[in-house]
Amino acid sequence: MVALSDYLTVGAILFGLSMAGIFVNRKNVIILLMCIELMLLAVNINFIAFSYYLSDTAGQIFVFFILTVAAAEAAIGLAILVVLFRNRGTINVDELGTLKG
Amino acid sequence: MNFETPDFLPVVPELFVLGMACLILVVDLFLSDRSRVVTYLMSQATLVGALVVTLGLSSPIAQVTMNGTFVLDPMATLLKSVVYIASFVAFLYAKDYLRARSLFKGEFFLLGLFAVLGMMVLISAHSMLTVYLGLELMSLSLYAMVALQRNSATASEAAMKYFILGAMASAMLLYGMSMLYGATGTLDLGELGARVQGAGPSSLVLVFGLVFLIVGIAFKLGAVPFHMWVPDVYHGAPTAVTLFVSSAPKLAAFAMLMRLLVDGLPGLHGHWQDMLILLAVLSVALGNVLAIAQANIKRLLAYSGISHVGFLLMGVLAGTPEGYAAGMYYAIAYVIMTLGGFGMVILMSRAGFEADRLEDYKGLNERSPWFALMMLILMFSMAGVPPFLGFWAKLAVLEAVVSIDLIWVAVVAVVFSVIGAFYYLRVVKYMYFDKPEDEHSLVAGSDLRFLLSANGLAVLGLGIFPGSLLALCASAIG
Amino acid sequence: MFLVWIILLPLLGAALSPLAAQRGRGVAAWSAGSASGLALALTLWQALPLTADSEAHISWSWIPQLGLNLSLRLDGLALLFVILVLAIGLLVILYAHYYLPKSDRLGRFYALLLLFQTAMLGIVLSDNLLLLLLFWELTSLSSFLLIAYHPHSSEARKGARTSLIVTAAGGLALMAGLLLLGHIAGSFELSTVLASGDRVREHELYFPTLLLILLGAFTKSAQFPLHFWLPKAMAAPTPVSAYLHSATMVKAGVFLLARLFPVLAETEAWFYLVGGVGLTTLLFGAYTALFKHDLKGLLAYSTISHLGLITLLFGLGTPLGAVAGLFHVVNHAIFKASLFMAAGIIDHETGTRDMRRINGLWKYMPYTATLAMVAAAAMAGVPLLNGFLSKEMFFAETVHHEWLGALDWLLPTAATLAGVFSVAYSVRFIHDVFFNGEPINLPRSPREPGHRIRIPVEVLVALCIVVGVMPGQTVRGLLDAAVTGVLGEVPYYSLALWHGFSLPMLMSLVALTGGVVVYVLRYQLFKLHDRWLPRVSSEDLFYRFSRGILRLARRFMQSFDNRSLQRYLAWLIAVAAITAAAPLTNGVILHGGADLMPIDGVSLAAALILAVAAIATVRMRHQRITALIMTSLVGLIVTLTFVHFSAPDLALTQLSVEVVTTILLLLVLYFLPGGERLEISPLRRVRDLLLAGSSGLVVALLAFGVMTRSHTPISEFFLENAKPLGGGSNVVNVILVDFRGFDTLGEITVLAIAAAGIFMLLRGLHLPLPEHGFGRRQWAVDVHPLIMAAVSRPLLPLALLVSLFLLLRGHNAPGGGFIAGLVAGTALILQHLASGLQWTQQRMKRRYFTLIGGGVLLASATGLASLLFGRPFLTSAVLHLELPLIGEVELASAMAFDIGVFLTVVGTVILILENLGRLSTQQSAQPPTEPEEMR
Repeated sequence: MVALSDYLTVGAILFGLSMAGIFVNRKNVIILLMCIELMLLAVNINFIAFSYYLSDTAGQIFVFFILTVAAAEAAIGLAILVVLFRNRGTINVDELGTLKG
Repeated sequence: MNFETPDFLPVVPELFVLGMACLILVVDLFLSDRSRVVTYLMSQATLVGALVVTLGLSSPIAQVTMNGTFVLDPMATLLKSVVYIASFVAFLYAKDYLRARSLFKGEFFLLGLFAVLGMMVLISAHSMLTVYLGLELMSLSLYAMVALQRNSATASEAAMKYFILGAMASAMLLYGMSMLYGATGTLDLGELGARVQGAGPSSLVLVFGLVFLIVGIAFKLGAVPFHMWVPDVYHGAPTAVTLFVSSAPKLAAFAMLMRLLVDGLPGLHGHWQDMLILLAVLSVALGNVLAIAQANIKRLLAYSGISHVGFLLMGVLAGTPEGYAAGMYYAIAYVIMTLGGFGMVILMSRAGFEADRLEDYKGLNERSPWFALMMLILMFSMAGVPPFLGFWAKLAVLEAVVSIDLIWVAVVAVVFSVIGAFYYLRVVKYMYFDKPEDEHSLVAGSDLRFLLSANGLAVLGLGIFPGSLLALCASAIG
Repeated sequence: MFLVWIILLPLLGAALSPLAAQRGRGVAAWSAGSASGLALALTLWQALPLTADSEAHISWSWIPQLGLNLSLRLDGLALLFVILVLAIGLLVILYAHYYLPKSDRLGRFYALLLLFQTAMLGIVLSDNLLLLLLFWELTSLSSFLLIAYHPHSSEARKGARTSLIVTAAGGLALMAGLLLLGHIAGSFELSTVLASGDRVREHELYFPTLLLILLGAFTKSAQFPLHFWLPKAMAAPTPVSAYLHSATMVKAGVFLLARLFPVLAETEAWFYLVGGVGLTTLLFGAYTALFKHDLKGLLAYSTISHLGLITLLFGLGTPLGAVAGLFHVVNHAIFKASLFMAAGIIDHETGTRDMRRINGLWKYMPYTATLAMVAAAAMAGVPLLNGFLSKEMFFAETVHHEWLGALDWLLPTAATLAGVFSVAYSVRFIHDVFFNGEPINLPRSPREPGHRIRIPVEVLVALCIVVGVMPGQTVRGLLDAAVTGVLGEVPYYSLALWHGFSLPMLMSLVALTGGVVVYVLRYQLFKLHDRWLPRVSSEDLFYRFSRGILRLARRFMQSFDNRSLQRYLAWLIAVAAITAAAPLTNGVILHGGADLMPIDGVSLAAALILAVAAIATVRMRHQRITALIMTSLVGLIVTLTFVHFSAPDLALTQLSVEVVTTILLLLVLYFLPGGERLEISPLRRVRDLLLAGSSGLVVALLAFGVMTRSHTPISEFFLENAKPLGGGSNVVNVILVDFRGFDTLGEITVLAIAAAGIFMLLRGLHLPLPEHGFGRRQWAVDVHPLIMAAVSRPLLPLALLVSLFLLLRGHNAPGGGFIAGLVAGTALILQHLASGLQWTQQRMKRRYFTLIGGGVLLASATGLASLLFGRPFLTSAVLHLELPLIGEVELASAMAFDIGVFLTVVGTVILILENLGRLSTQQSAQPPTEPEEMR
């Protein structure tokens, strides 16, 4: 029997790691996007685990939503990224600091 | 959770907007660029129609429907109505601006309508699921709108930042929701409130969940220290988009705050009050101090907006009905003022020229005494000088804070408002005391001129007769 | 009711002035004058003689939520000020008509002046603290506009801004103070507040309340060190200086002290704050006035000094002090207004205000000189003039006070010293200007002005004498009434001219002789003053302060607003982690009591893979394809987890979403530049690791807290109810479509938005293809390998069949519109990848938006359709069908809804992927540009 705790731990680790990824990464925005995806996966694991142990389907339904919306979000993010790349010729996070007044 | 057959009537405004948006999506495909104005007119008609439907459905009793995910109460009716009106005004201001920059495409209005739909869902949310849904509907549309000007590097950069930070905030919000769900086993906000009251030992989890929730809310409101996106987005986005982003979504964010904290977690008032105090004080302080250093009026208004959010939070954190009403009053007042403020930027701009530096306002009094007067009213109102609208909003909020003996918060707020008066005055000084650098006459259309005048006069009129709006807010809170 | 008219008449006059001015200056003056005059007549007619009965009071509810009522009250104190404001206003209107240049039509001037008058009347008549505040700020505003009456003089602009900033800021402090006061007293109605004096003084918030209110009063009444705006405000036209900045507006602060005297006074804090500030201002103003060479500058500092005197009198907290203070308010208004007017005439006639140049004017304008001399003598406190009387009372009060104990010689000495300087600058005003040799190099040759402009001065000077000689017969009644308004009773006091030889008399004599001596020694003093006194003034401090704030703001901007996304993210996460950790420090028990269960091998392995994959994603960031694969690995494990939790639908959805997302990322990665490495400073690396580590720790602790708490299952309900109510046995899908129909609708709307947004962003966009692929490998020569194309083509109908199956079965088994849509979309995209864009496009209609919009419309229409069936929104109408191969299908109306979802999903997926895929211009087979072809 796998305990709820294991899943939550996994979720927490995933969440923490993705936060770490957002930081340690200074290369480019794509990795940022991936890390945010990971964060959402962590949230999903949480919801599913809770939903299972609470025998409440509402959590599962929420995960459906997160999945869909996350995909749409990623798509929009990529589109913005493409436009940005065209304008700036770079997707380096560190160079995203030039919005000068 | 109950399975009584859901009542469909309260959702009609949402369905109406959704249907119209899809219709416009399809119709827009068949329009040539010359007849694009049809999209615009249809969008405006949608907003007017939604307003009529919403007002027609208004009732003093809260109706919960769709299996407890949706609520229609007086607060929802009022906030939605203001959202429609604000969006209507924003679309109208935006029209000429977009046309002059060949951005007059169906997408702006379409995404705007979708964003309005998101706000409506958010305002009427009665479940964490609906909150998330509404939030994402709104946010996704706004991300795309910010990047509307595709050949502008600043706009796409702003969109990227907005997107990354916004996605992060959403993820944190979700994490908080998952914690709350785990601790209480429900997504329904009313149910959540009841179970939290009886929670006891697991309250630690609740508090943790609450923290993440507040991070998400604070981000959408743009409260310090989660404000970083605000100046960059306001500055980077085309002014027409900034106008929209800065106005109606603030009401939705306010609704989110009310739904999640006041409806959902009243039992944790002590905890969230502390956090909101921190956010409010930091917002008022940093917003006002940083505004002084700005040379760009869009950034200035962004920081001013941040400080206004601080005031808005003060109303809510009081935790009394008067406080909530004051917060709502502040939110509405802010939206009216910010519409006017960015409307002025649009008025002053023309094809190939963005009037976004403070210097561009030099000598406005000589170029157009009337609009200089309108701007004067707006600036004084934002600074909180009587008898303009902003003064009453500040007063109501401060009274709410004083009434729960949080004197120091009120005093800090006043001190920083004094500092804030500085930069509003700077704009006034430029308009009235300096020689114009730019001798072009204003090119805006007559509908924009008319509406902008009405906007400025509304700030004055609602300042002289502040009672009715305040009473409206009070009755909406109930 | 007449109270309202007192306020309304000037307001009406303000509105009429611009109209009247069109008919000429005279008409404007008449209309403005009659507005003030009528209000004055009305006041005198209704309120005199003032008895307890004739006190008028009216009140309307205005904004009850805020405790703001439109309450007005006319008691003795208010009456005194109303008469002052209206009478001097009348004279100023007359004066301005002759003073301002003929080219000025006066409409704007009178409008602003009357607006100010309205506000000032509002302050003194308000019986509600918030109402008072409202009018208070209005005076600041109208003062601002009047100072900046000639906006092109830089002095006027600076003066206007400085005065607005200082007084409006003071007003905000006052707002906080009055809010507190109302909070303590339980009401904003002045009558209630005045009755709860003891409660206020004993309240723990008394001191902050007092401080804030005083801040407001002191800024308005130009008390040291907040006085510096007043000399700057002298850039205003002289009628404005005479009216606002000497006689009325600056008295508003003093009025507030008098008004709240019964509530706030008679405490030690009051004495030290009010008395101390008053005394300092008195000395400072008198001293500085002597060294001003500008005529109006001298008068400005003299005004500051006299305001300090009045403040000091109220600060003493004694009844007689209050009497003297009120008396001096009247006297000062009379002589100072006339002096300003005289100064204005001199300025007008000579073209300068520099006292080093205007000398010996006696010869040129003897009549004006006489008037000015009398007024200046009143200012100096010469007997038989009104100034003498109140100054005597002031001296007497300083002698009789008891607060300072052993130091009680200090106050009389300081008062005498101030008297000396006061006499000295008055003498200077008289002697320098009218005698002292010949005028030097004047721009204009002076002569006596027209007699009409002198009328206001004459009236005021006459008042100086009449009051000075017959105080009992003239002002006593009014003063008694005003004192009653403040104290509730009239203490015994004497207005006699001669009290016998007493200490105050001696002090007066010392002041008079000392003043003359100081004047005689003035040149030496000027030199001393210039050489020795430090140049730091509070004005400098103010400007330094404002510059300091600006610098501070700029510095803040560097750390908070440097526009670096990384910095923003660091802030976001750091604050979130800190606030999340904060509850832990309060000694909350983290362990919830429930025991942790042992870990089994499978879940351990899964967790390990997850962790490794997540770490790998981050570590492999330079090889993005590898990182992407690692992310997909995480997705797959999560899918397995879903299966483990008996959520097959979710697993299916997760899988298809994962596939779609991966393809999406691959398409974008395709043309983005490959990775060059960036150097990261060690410091920053440490910061990042710390932040990441601590936020991870917080989240882990949080999880630990959650998992050691027990949970109660709550809903067998869904399982029990799904079949009978919704007509299906796949619980999740039934819930999704029926019970959550509304949210599903929202969900596909999100997809529609994404589609619209992406279409908007990428339409007609083309990017150059990088020369190398990942890892500097060459691109494959064969862009669309034959085998892949050959394999993928038969796959399409197969995949479509699967998706159809999923769609139809969906209502009872895992599947449904959503997954079906994703599967179909993936299959179509595969064609794009394998056979190229052009090949696919030739074979497909491309009205994706019709697909998407139609899908959403169909879904919503289904809802409406069930309504037609008499069922509520999105609840199913059930129809059973036997289909070959698939088996029994319960055709719920939800099926149509599912189809709507399906269409939307397919449309969105293809639109997004195709738009991304089309970006690169590399496809050789493709026509060079095809803008708008997506339509």
